Amino acid sequence: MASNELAASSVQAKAGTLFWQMLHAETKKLTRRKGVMAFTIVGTVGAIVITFAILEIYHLSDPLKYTSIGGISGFDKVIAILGQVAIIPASILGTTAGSQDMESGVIRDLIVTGRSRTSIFFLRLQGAVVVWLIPLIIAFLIGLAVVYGLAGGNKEPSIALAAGGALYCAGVSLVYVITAAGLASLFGTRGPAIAIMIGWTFVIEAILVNVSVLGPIRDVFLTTAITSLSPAANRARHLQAVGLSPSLLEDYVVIVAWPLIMNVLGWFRGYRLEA
Amino acid sequence: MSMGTSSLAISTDGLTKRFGERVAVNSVDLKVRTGTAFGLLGPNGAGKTTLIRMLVGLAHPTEGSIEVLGNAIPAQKLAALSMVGAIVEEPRFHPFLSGRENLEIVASLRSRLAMSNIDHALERVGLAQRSADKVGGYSLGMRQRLGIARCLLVDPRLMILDEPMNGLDPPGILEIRALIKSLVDEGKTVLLSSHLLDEVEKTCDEVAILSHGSILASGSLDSILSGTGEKFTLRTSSDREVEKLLRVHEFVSGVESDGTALHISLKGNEVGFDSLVAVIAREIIGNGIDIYEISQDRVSLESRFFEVTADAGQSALGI
Repeated sequence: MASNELAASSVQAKAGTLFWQMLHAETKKLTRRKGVMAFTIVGTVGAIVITFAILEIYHLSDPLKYTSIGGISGFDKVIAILGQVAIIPASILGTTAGSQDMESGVIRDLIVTGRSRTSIFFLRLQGAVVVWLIPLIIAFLIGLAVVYGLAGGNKEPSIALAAGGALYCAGVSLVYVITAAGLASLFGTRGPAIAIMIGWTFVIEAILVNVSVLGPIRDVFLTTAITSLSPAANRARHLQAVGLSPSLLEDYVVIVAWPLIMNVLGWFRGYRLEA
Repeated sequence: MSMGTSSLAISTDGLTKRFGERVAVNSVDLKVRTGTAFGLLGPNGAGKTTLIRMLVGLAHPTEGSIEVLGNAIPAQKLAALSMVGAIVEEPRFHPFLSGRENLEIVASLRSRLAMSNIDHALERVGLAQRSADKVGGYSLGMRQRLGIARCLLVDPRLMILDEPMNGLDPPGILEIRALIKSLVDEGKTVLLSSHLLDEVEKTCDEVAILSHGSILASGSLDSILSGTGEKFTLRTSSDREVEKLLRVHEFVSGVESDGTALHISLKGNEVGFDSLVAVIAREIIGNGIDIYEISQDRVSLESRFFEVTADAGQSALGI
């Protein structure tokens, strides 16, 4: 290998190592926050374990009245927990990741390293994604083990449906992690960002989606697009009940637009910030 | 005196920062030579921190240019700041992380070398034993030390320290003063912003006095202390005769007697204070007068600072 090729590969290796070093440090900022991590684990792994444990107790106490907890109905519960309930810990983790450097004032010392504000901003997002995905994957695997292992006489979901469910849960929760991180970067503080994320998602959108006079305006709600794409059949029926039927393209545009807009605003605030 | 850019750790030209109508930094030309401890003095609101924030890329100048270690800011920020350690205002940390983990966060953005320097930096500021403790439990003085350790991660050529003595107890101040001196001895440049005039006088070789966003005086500590001239006290066998002899010299700006000694003021002169005193001494002795005492009147930085800033305040008020 020529010396310049060796040098180039060495630079690439160093850059790669530095990236992992930065990412590791970034994840540490989140994993060391005991409250946030406890809530994240309880909202994902804990929610799956507790839900199925309770259902299994019911099933064991009266198998005729309560069917096996696995199969398609169990799969729907996994999707409901990790695609809906997990939005709350996802939002909390995202807002924490997006705001903690500014809230603590450490952002100043990060900028003084000479790294661009853009790279610091994206590193924050990457850290949040990594920290979120680990408990989410564990929770989903536990859910799948129950769905297939304790299906009993219930019909099991196909591998394609299970894979689609995995993508859906990961996608939905990541959209909320990233949107929350962008919103928190815009505010620079965690409290208001959490209040807006959860208030908007679970109160305002939940109310407005049922106000039929708003018509197709409701298609731009993130929860509408996410519900529309859900592999759980019962959720799609809910949209039809309130008179909404957004196209697949509309769903994807809405799902991309929310995190994108929030993060462009958050990045711009960080870019212009006179720390 | 002109200085080549390479001999300057910091060079600003016409640096200005406005917040709306308010001018925080007004056309500042700051030159900090490499290998010096440079004190940036000024009352609260003088523009010291705004100036520092622009030097390290935290704030954007409205006008003017900045070079740090020969690199333009903000165009070559990464190259410049990779050799700079800075504390701006008070050092901030994540309270839920340990001292070591906080250093790791910044070191990870710097380089692998910075990661390997963490232990050394903690030892140098005397925090090695407490590095595993959460920063939330640190005293202000410990956080100042940790802030300095964070600056040392990159083995910096330039350290910018904004009020580094805040919160330190007297032994801590002595340690940090010794640390700054040792850094300068190693050839590093230290820009020290402080309102502790005595501290700057003990630590720095050169100073600039900033007020209302403008530099009022800048140069070596000796030249700042001497101001427009220097003073000395003279006791002779015939003070009245000496007074007559000295008044004819252009470089003597004033002679006052308090009844026991003469207090002589000299104008600034290229020949230098020592040479002028030698000329005077030779003349007195040549006239058959005995000299009992010659001593230089040392002006404190504090009195010089108030003199300079008071003049500026009067100018600003049109007095």
